[in-house]
Amino acid sequence: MVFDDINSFFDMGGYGLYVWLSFGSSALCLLVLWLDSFFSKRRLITHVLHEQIRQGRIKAAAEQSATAQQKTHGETI
Amino acid sequence: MTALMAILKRDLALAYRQRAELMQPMLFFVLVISLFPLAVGPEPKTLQLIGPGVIWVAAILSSLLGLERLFRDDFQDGSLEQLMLSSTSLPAAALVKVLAHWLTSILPLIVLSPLLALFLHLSEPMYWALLKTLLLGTPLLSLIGAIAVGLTVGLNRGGVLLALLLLPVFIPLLIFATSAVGSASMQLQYHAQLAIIGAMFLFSLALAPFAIAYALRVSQT
Amino acid sequence: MWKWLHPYAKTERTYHLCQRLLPWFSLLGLAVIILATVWGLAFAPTDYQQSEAYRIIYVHVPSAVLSKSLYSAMAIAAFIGLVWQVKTSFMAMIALAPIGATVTFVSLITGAAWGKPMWGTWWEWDARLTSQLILLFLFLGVISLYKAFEDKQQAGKAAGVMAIVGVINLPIIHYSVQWWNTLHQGATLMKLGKPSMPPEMLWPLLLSILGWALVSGAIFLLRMQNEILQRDIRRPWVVALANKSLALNKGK
Repeated sequence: MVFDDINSFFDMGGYGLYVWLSFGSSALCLLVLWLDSFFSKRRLITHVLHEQIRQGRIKAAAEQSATAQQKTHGETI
Repeated sequence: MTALMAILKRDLALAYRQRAELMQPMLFFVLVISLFPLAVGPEPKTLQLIGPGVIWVAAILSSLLGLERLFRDDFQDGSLEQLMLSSTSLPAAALVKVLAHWLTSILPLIVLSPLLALFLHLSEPMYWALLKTLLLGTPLLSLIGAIAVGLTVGLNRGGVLLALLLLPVFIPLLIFATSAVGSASMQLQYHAQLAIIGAMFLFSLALAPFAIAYALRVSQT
Repeated sequence: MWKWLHPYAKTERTYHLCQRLLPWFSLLGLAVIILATVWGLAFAPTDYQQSEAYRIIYVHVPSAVLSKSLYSAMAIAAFIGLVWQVKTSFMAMIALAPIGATVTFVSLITGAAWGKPMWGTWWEWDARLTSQLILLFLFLGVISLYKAFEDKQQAGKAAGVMAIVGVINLPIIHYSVQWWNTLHQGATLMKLGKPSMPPEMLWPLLLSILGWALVSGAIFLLRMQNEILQRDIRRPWVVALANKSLALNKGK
């Protein structure tokens, strides 16, 4: 460890603002980029699942109306 | 050969009929350059210092405005598609269209340049250097600009996107052209800068037509 | 010779490859980057000229190196896509672009933060910063062009052409900016040249570059998967995949 205590570590020989600004913004940018990528993936997969459920509902509704039509058709005959 | 001549004549005739539209980049050029004395003061030394840069930046921006015309009308009335389907070599046709565009949109700017050199108090050696850089360098603007125009021809919000794509690519030309005029102002030689601009011009002259043809095929699928 | 690459022209194969590689790149990348950063911040010796401010090198140089490598990678992907008509190559290209733009942006910020104590000003038109700025514009241009098209096939090809026009211009831009800078600036170069760096400072630097590369790789794998999912969103294999991950999550 080059620094004697934690305070001199944060101070960075007087250049603390610039050093921590640099490391902080780098970490922030990488983090934001990673979060965006990770949560996009999650969103896409959730979308696929929702879409599947929706398709299932549409299909079920179509089948219901088909059987309902058959019944009324049968009654009129 | 006659097909290419026909394309050239057609483009020139069409441009002539749209003279009013062609005036717009020219007016923009003069206006933008006139803004600078108003903004930084009329002191001749200052104007001479920033002059070459201002004229070149204004030339680049004005050429961007005029570039959209290159394929737009042909795209809208279907003749672009016809051109692409015809037996004429598309790179050759593209080169001819670029030539027509340079003659009608950029050459007028060069014709105006003496007036603007006067506005900005450029010395005579500076003006000759400027003229040489314009003659050698502006074809580059048309050639490479046409690639980007070819790619964006179908899009409706082409304008600013075109600038965003092309300005970084034009930076080396800007640097060498203004440096040539700057050297001229100090009575120094500027053959090196002209040679590099010439090299860039020849390079794009050789390759751009093929890139433009490809760009058109991509955007017109 | 390249036959082993052919299956990866299919999105499903590539997706699963990315999935297999992801844990390695992310965990290893995180570990290396943390190790290198701590080493560089706390254990590397103090520079006698720049005192502690030089430590910014441990983020500035990796981001700058990566910005250029990512642009090259993007251009290579564009080239492969255009020449061999491989769709996944265009997806790789557009997955790389935002990562490249971000690291270029970081290189500019860290360059400015380093410039203030060293040159006295936040921004200096030195050759390196100016080239990085133009590189950022090139990245943003490729992204904007891609987003302007509805048809993603067209978008890939158009952005690919611009990426290649950009890569041809990169050396010209670098050379012209350096030349311009020596004309106008003279000697405002940073005093830390790489060959003269002592090993105690060099090793954490090399390690940070590796760490940044691995982390960028991990983010690339994620974004590549996202591109594939978006394109193939209605395909059965994607639906099966989603169901499987749902089952896995429920099992947890």
